[in-house]
Amino acid sequence: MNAQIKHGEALRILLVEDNSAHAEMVARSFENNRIANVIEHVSDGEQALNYLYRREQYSNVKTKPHVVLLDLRLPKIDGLEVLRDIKTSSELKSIPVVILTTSSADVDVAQAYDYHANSYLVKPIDFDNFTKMMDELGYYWLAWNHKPF
Amino acid sequence: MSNENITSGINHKQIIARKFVLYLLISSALISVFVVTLQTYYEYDTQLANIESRFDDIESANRESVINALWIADSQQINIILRGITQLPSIKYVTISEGPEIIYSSGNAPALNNSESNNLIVRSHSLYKYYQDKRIKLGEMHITASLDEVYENLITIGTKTFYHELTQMFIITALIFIIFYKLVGRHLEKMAQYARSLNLQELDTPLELDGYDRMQKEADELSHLVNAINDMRLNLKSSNQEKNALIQSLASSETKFRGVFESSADGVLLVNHKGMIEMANATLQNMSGFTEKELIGHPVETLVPKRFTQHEQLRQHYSNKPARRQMGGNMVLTLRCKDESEVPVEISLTPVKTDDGTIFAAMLQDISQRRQAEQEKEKLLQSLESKNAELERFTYTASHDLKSPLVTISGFIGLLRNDIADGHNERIATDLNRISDAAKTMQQLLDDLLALSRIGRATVPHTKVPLNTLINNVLEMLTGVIDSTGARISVEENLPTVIVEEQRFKEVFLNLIENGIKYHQSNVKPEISIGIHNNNSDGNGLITLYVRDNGIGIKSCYYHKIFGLFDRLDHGTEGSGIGLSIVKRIIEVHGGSIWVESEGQNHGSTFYFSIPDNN
Repeated sequence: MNAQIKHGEALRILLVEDNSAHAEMVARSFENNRIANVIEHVSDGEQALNYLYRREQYSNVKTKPHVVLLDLRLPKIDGLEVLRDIKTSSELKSIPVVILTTSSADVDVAQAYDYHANSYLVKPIDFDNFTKMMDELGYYWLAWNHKPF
Repeated sequence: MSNENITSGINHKQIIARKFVLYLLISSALISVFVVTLQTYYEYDTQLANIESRFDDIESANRESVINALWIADSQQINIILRGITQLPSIKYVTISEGPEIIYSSGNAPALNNSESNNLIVRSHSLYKYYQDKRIKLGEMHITASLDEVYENLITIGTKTFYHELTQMFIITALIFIIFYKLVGRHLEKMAQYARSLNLQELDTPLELDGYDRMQKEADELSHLVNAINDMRLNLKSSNQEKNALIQSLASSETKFRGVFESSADGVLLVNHKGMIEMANATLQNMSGFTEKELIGHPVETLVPKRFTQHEQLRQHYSNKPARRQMGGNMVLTLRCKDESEVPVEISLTPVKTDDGTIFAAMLQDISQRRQAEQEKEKLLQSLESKNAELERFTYTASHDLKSPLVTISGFIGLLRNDIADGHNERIATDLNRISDAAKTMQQLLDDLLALSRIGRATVPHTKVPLNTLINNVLEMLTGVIDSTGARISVEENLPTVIVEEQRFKEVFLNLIENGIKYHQSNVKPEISIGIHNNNSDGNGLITLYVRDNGIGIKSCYYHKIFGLFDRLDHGTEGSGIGLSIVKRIIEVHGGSIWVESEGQNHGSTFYFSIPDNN
């Protein structure tokens, strides 16, 4: 690995996932990750936006996440709506948003990129692939990728 | 021919006869006068000459004897001679004077200055005696002759001649008249009679004159005239036949036109260039409700809805550039009926050139049925499209939601393996629970999908169900939940009876009441009221019912989302989220719709749903 790892700063991830089992899988995958990370989990779109805008119970959140892992089908506010909100907000639009969903429907992919998603990932059913994807995802966004802030 | 013309014909004939006779008489009288005058004048000349010659005779016969008697002054002889002279015709008075003194006279001396003096002629000559070569004047002899006799004669002769001439002229006139009548007059009369009796129905009898053979060798003017009249008759006959044929063909074409015009399934209008209706067929009258009288002679705008104010202008524009075309372009045209209702129509326009200028034929096709069919088709297409979209959403959701437990199961099997390998035995139980929960979720999803797909299959008959009975049944089924939560449920009395699939409708109330209880606010006992919101009062054929709770309420931005497949607003509560999808589907299958209103969070929510009023 030639990537430079900035020590002392963990990758802050906002995980927006309504399925608690999936959220646990993501969290446990990142536990074994090569890079330091902090995962914040919210289970619907409304909470996600509240977190990002630091509203209500999230008003004392200090920092913006380095990357948002966003599921598409979410209660209350749909994932695509959350994405659109982020990418049209001058405050939030620089945050990389990675769609992480079970849907591989063309319409979802197209809509997500239309709303300026930074990446679109489909949850693999195979566990090994799943963990590998999570590992590389973390490494990519923390090590290889230059963060916007 | 009218009677008036016949009468004037007779008058005309009489005038001609009268004129003819009058002219003959006048001219013969004039000629007679002329002849008599001429003859009389000639006679007068002759008589005067006679008198002059008598004077000469008297002079030559008596001159010597008178001179001799005067010479010897034989007065007796002189008187005898003078008496002898006065015996002669016309000689009235003879004098011999010496100077101014009359010495001898015979006869009656004419009175001087009397009226008859003009009728006298006086001849004077001197009486000379040659004695010893000297001429000695013995006196003057004056002979006076009277013209009275001459005039009497002239009158007698003149009168005689005049009568003679006149009689002759009368006879000639009469003869000429008779001959003229015989040769011309009677034929003219016959021609007149023939012409008078001639009519268009009887042109077969030729004109024939008595004594005239049509084939006679020497044709005179009359036979020319007869031939001309007969030729004229034949021409008239053939042109009349042509005219009749024309009239007949016109009539038959009119019949055909009428037949097509009246039997046309389309309304047909003929409009002149001024925009006035000239003809309107029965179909159009039926379509519009106007009678023929109310249309013909009225502006075509009678049939145009009043809001199309620009019609007149457009019509004039079209009138300037007439062409066969469809009217209105893409606009929906409507016919204005007598009762102010409107019928959607398609109108095609055709200009027809006639001698009275261009008229316009408008064919109006009633397209209300077609439009209705089109609208129904459109509605069906829309419902098909929405069904299709729903199906697409359904498969999309189903595939997404069904894939999710698979990811979980597969993932936790992997995690379980790792935990076992790493000796994290405390995690094994939770891992296994995750796996079995996912499997259960999968089972539930499949069951729900099956249930949803069953709705709307018309296998169960719809029955008449009093809503109060149905709701009471549902409440009995929910006794356990109601008792455990202490929920209070009030139902409006005298709810209507509806015709529905009973079992499905129980599910509607079951779901709505259960939801109302499930999403209650903590520390607040659920209160649910069910009643009627709108009993088809606005006449749209729908009854609207409501189920109101005092639960956690719903934000307005989520109103549409709660009816989606497997959508839940709160993951803290049980269920797959399919309940309201099923309710929505049942209501829609019954021909109604469902929506929700809420005063906001913790202010409860009200579900409204409509169903057709089948009473």
